[in-house]
Amino acid sequence: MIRSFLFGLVVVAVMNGVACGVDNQVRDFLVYDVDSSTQQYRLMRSRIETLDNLREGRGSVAKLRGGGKANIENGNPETEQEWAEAIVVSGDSTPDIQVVVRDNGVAMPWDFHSAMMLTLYHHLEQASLFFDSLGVSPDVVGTMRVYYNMPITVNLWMLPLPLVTDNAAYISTIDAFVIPPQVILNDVPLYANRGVVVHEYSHAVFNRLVDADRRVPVYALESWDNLVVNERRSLDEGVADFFAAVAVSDPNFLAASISDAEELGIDRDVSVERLYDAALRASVQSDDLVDYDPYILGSVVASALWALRGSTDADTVTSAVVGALNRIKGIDERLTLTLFFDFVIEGLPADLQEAGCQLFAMRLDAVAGDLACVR
Amino acid sequence: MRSLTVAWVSFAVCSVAFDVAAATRHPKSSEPSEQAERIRTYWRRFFAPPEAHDWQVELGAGRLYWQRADGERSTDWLLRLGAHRQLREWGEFVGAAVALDVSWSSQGTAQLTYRNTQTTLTVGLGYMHWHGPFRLDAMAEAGGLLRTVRVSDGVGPDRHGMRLDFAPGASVGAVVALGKTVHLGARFGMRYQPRRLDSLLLLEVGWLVGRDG
Repeated sequence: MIRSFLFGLVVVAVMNGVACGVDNQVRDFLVYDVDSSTQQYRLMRSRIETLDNLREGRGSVAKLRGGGKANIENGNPETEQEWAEAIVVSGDSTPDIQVVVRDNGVAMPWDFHSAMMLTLYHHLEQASLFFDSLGVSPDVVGTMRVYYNMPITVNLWMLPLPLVTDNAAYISTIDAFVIPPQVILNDVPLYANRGVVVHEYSHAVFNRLVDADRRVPVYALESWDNLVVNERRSLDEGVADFFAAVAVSDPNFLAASISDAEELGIDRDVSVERLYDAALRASVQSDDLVDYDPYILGSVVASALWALRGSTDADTVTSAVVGALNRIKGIDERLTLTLFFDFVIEGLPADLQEAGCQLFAMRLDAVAGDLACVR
Repeated sequence: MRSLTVAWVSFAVCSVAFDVAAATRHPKSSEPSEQAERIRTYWRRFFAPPEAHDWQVELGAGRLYWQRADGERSTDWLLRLGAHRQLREWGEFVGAAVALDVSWSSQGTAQLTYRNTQTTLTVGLGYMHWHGPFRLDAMAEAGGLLRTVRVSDGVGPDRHGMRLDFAPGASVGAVVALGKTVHLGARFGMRYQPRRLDSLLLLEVGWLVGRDG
């Protein structure tokens, strides 16, 4: 009786050892992804190639961390050092992603958070591949730290209060993606929305290419005009939305995660025609860093680039956009929105440049005269 | 959780009450006083020392605290069917136990839902002794953990999966016998799953069966 029991324990222990060994060899996973034919999120079999350690969610694209908090220690930083130390991450831990391997060799995450972390890694890898196809090597961004389910908090009378939930962010000062808990929205989690992940990855690309890999943006340290700072931030948001829409072939990629966007005042559908008109221009000129909403002009940028796809294919436009990002690298205080669009037009094939110029001149109504092709 | 706390406190109060009775039941003087005898008689109506028996079969309910993939902790309901046996051939301080635990949880968002069950079959060996109507035990345990998952995304068919892991652990428990055949108890256990340590807290009701005395 006792011998049988001991033998049984040994069998179970060996099986467990085998299972652990299998984990890191599995490449096919059941992840939550968008079905391009229906634009609906569902469980899909997909390959993840770059995971080195499945249980810890660690690979060449990302290194996942779980829990903890990102606390805003300094709400009014001024020096570069203060900016670098304004947000402090603590209490995070190594993940423990667990899967069950099915008969067909596909690994299915065992629980919800394993599924979401694996899905997040998958989407980051896809984002990396997307930019790689545009000529931005994965080495440009490198292995990104990703803090999953980490609330962004602020101290109020010594108590850390959650400041940001239901979001996803690239924070340049800690050079990491932060995924706060989803507590309000009940749609596809933002971190499971591949478009949102591409959007955030684009911010890291923008940081590397345009901000020259500086963790603290120069405009945060120097006294630049509101116009320059605001256009730059909107450009960052705009190209991020454009890349996201292209990557998932959905101009309204946010809708899957925010079904009641209208009630929440979120209007980011890049297929909608939007103008940089005089009223918007006035706000861009007057609002300071805190008051300015970069998404409004950002959506103008994204919709203008998206509309250009009507004249050609997506690859041509995305290549021109990446080319323009490379050309504005290091142009700090002199960078304007029209300069970026000048470079986009120059990056287009000769037979498309006229169409591009007309489109951008119409969409950038308030600053059309500054476009090189119009002057 | 509050109900568990109340149960623990009640158990502690019972323990203190019995200690008073036990102290008076074994007075230092050779003849117990009349008052002590009254107290002992009174408490024995509730906490009678069990007779000799083979098995103690238990049903338990409580909470399982398990570490999630992101390092945070979740709590699920846990049900237990278990049994303890005094190994008299090894003396009065050694016992064995077997336990079947089942816990379940459900989590999801939008149309995606994960439903998980964890079923553990463990055997334990260790200290076990009756002190009057009280039984204390502290056991090392080992067994198998079967985990199943059913996932629904609201679009395709449900997906199923299962996995078997080795699950060593340890537990400490205390029970008090009531009326010679029933006992109530509480148990705290730790269970090691590869790289993570889960814990459980149970309240148990049991029966003394297979008396041979």
